[in-house]
Amino acid sequence: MRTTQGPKTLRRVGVVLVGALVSVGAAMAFPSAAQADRNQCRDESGLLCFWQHRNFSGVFGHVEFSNGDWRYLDGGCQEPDGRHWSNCASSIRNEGRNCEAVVYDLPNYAGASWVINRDTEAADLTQWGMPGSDNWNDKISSNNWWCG
Amino acid sequence: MARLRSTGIAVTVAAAAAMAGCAAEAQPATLSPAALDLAVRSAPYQQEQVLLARAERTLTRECMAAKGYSYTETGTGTVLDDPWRPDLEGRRLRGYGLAKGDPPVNGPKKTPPGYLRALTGDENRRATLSLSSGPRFTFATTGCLAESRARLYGDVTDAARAAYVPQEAYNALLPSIVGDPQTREAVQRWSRCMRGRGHSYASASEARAAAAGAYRAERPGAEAHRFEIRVAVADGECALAAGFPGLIDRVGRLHAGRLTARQREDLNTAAELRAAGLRQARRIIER
Repeated sequence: MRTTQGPKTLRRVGVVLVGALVSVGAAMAFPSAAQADRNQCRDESGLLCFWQHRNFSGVFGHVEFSNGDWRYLDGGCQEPDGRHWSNCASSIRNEGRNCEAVVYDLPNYAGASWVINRDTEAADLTQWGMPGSDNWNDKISSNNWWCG
Repeated sequence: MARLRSTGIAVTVAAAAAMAGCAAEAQPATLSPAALDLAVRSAPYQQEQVLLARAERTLTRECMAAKGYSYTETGTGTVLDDPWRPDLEGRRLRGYGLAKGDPPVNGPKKTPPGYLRALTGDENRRATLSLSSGPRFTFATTGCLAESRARLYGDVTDAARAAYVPQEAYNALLPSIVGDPQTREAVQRWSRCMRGRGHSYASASEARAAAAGAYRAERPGAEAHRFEIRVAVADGECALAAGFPGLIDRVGRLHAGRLTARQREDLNTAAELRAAGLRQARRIIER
């Protein structure tokens, strides 16, 4: 598996939700304290970026290519089970240049999935309902790219 | 598009009323035929995804050219591989795509001054779409990517609805589809087919794990890749032989009633948005 790894030190940041939602389910987002860590993932860097905690905080990691098992990525959660980045990410940002990022809840591109479009981010996977489970927090186990 | 957005607002108001304790007054939404097709990714869903992506890339290239930048399209025209609706052509070339460095997706890294701003717009002008089951996606509202999505769907938030609401529905149905007795029988047919081809696996997950394991078993890379392709192609051909595409289509529809009223309403809206986006995409590609 090929990956590059960002700073491994945990960062404590204030949890500030990105914008307030109105009833139609869409709203403008405003810069917040979380932006500082969010910007670890540069615009159009060609990377799928992810963080250990919600609101782009905690350990930061990123991948450039497809990865069939995030257990083999460096860094991530330092749990005794050796999961590394598998079942670890809580926020995510797609800054791929040409392709949509696809994340899966099982290794080897299996199970439930989400196609996350370019230049799109999700600050809090703890809020993502997951039928048959609780939510998408600490669930992503593999990724690939779809270029259409 | 204004009509569609008005519908969306009405739906949300209805949902909010239900949350406030007026659920008994809410009318259960019926899925439109197009929404039902979308929920189960009925053919030609995958091909339509390719068409929409191609049109978006074309619009982005034109938008960037108008701002003085060259934007390189790198689409491959291939569908997203699916365990039940396999991309056999892709599997013959790449297997499941488990090899290191696969695929080289993200193009040249150096861009001229102003390029990123033209493409992705103002960082402070972003919008968030919130789905009823919790997912929230934040994306640009300015720049050529956003403008392309808006030209395709009429509005950048509607573009996000068209992209994410169907995924929410499909994921909601997935556990029921997997657990359905008809699906389990089909998995057994798939497994027998695989055994007949020399690959003894109880499930597609096992087959994928075996292919991935070849890369970690100190086999030479080329040998592991050939093994992955053999397994992936047999897996795909057996998925078709077991009748998965049609079966998932039928079984998914049986369980569509499990979607919440809000999800059904949102999916109806998304299906309308997608149909409009597809019409626009065809106009763009054919002009």
